[in-house]
Amino acid sequence: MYDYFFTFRTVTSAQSAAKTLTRAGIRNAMARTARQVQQMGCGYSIRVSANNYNAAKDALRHAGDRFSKIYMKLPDGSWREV
Amino acid sequence: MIYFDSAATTLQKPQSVFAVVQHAMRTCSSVGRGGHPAAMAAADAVYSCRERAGQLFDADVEQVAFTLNATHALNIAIKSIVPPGGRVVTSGFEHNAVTRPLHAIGAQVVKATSPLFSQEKTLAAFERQLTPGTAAAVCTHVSNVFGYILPIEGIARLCKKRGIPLIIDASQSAGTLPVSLRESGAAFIAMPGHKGLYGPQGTGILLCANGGEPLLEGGTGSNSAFLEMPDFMPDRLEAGTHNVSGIAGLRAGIDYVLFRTPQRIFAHEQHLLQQARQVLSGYRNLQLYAGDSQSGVLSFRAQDMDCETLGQEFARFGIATRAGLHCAPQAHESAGTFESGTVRISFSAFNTANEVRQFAGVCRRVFRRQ
Repeated sequence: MYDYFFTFRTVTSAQSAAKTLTRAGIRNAMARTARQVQQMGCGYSIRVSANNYNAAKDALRHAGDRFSKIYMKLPDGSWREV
Repeated sequence: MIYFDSAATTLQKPQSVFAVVQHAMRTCSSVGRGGHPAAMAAADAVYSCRERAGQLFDADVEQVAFTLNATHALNIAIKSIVPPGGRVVTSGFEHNAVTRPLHAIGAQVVKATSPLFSQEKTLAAFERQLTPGTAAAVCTHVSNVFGYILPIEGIARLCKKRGIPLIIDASQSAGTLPVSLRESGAAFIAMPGHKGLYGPQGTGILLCANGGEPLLEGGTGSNSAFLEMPDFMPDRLEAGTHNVSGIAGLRAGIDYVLFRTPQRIFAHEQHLLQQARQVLSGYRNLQLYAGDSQSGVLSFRAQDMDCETLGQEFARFGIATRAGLHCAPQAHESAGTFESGTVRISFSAFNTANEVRQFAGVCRRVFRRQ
């Protein structure tokens, strides 16, 4: 199972989203967005497990937390946009 | 020292503010500049302050921008919406933090003048002056010189009805009076962190209904690949490294205000104000500026002593006051005190009735010597 990464333009948006997920009982971790998938240069991502991906997406959309993109990190270290 | 100069800055702070500032200085690095624990601790400290400010002032976290002080915040607000030469309506009680930026951009300033402590006349004056073609209204919530509480809710309603953006200077009201970004419909609300919010100096907040234009350009930790500033809040208005320890302290200050509640702090200051008014009204050679709609700020002047000399006398007896024009010459013009200036005493949640009694004792000594 792969982890999913929601990317955000700013640390503040990522923090708001992390709070939303935590409130929804979804485990998450915030980190810098990998350079390979940065759209605009520098940003933050929230990682969730594949099991929680759909619930996380729904929770963020429901709360109005605007993420930029969603990526999967593949076993070979590459990224695939979802 | 008995500190009665909280309208300039509150000197006494909750103990938690000192502790949090020191802790943040030891543990926090830069916000949005890394993923290591020190960077994330900084991000958490700043974000939690945004949350608290949003809670106190009825705003979303992304509508809260941190500034160096209220002056910085007002400069951003004014320069975001007032075009050069634009018509701007102000009250007659504005601070230089409002009047100087307006002058610098060549705004056509129209004053909605009214007597002190007359909310009805102030509202009527705004009603007359908020005419079509007005680029913005800029209004203080409370006069920093006289403590006059302006009818900001009514002014905000007028602005909303006429489609005129409003900038509120909440420098003297944040932490003691209700201030709501959502309810007021204001375009911006500016405030310092170091007065009624009990944070450290070097902190300020700008609440932005719909973003703003940057006063400074630079690194934000976002959109780094582009030369333009990000078009999203709060990054658009927060170039450069944040005052993280200050903002952490500000969060502790806001926590204190939320715990005590602005209503109770206001009531406490009102009690001290009434006590001080009673003390000073006993001297016939003093002119007091007092009214119904007044916060915990009281100005007075002596007929036969220069205000700066009087301020020095109080200082000699261990009472910290503020004398002169208080960076608000227009307020003094409106009240007819421009030539003389006034001595101002102003309270915080940390002042006590006993301090006012000691002040009464000092007044007896100072005024007997005249």
